[in-house]
Amino acid sequence: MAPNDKNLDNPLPGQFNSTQLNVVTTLDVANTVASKSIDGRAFLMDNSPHSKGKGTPQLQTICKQGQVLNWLIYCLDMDQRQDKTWPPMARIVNIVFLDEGGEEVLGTQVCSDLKIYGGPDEIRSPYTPSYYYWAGMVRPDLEPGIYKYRLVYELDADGGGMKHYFQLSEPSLRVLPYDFVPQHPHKD
Amino acid sequence: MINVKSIIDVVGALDDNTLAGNCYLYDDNRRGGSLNQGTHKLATAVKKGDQILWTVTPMECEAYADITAINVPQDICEVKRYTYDGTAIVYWLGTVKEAVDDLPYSITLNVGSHSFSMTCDHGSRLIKGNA
Repeated sequence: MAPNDKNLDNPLPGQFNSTQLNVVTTLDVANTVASKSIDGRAFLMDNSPHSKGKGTPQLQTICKQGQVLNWLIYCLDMDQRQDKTWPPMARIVNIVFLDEGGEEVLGTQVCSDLKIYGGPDEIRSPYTPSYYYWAGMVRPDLEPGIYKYRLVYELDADGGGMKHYFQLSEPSLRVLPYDFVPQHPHKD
Repeated sequence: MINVKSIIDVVGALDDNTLAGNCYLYDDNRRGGSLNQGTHKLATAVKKGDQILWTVTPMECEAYADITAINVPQDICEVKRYTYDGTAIVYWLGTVKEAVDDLPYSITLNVGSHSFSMTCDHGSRLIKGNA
């Protein structure tokens, strides 16, 4: 895109598209493991006003070139139990962007710095808040369009033991040009 | 150049329906006589020929704010809107054309994901400094 060309030598091109978006998976961990199926037990939501499919696994997040996205998980059962044990937790272990044929492409071609953040080794430390989330920046020179991606989740089993893996392959990003202005900002 | 930075509590502003108390203005000309740093009543000391750069930072990284107008007489301070190259981030540059004594001005902003228009006109001023 011509307006971005002269910024490609700039080490921080487009990093001033300052508003971050959050994409949240709400997940019923125990029942997913028990039934061996994530169908109907994971709901995706984001805070981009015009996204489609909110609350479903087919969430399409509207975002712009250069925007930072955070992928978070809320487990439906998260509180410490009365007997001081914790319910099984889940985390995202991979985010993979898919090309049109559904084959995998390198995530860094769509998002840069796509990785785990938040100090996850200190989860449940009594001394410091810590989080286990993924984040990345939509590349400022990425061609606007729709980019499907796969979320791979790792679920703990209650009481320890082998972890379980599930994935959602239907969410997507709809990437708009960095200077896109909606025609009717208050119409939905 | 004098930098005027607005830190906006977007959630607070939308909740209170006013920028009063939700807008923290700072500039880097305290030595020149600016007063009331960190409040919505910032008085920025300027003299003829000074350039002023207005920028906005939303207090939360998931919240949106940008400046849509600097409301000041153009014959006293001529202002223009720009965006940083390759981004949609807005800044405003002004050039002080005449010496000022005590001139109230206001900043109009888009606040939040739905670009709600709000004006911070609760006491920001350009004043004569001690230079």
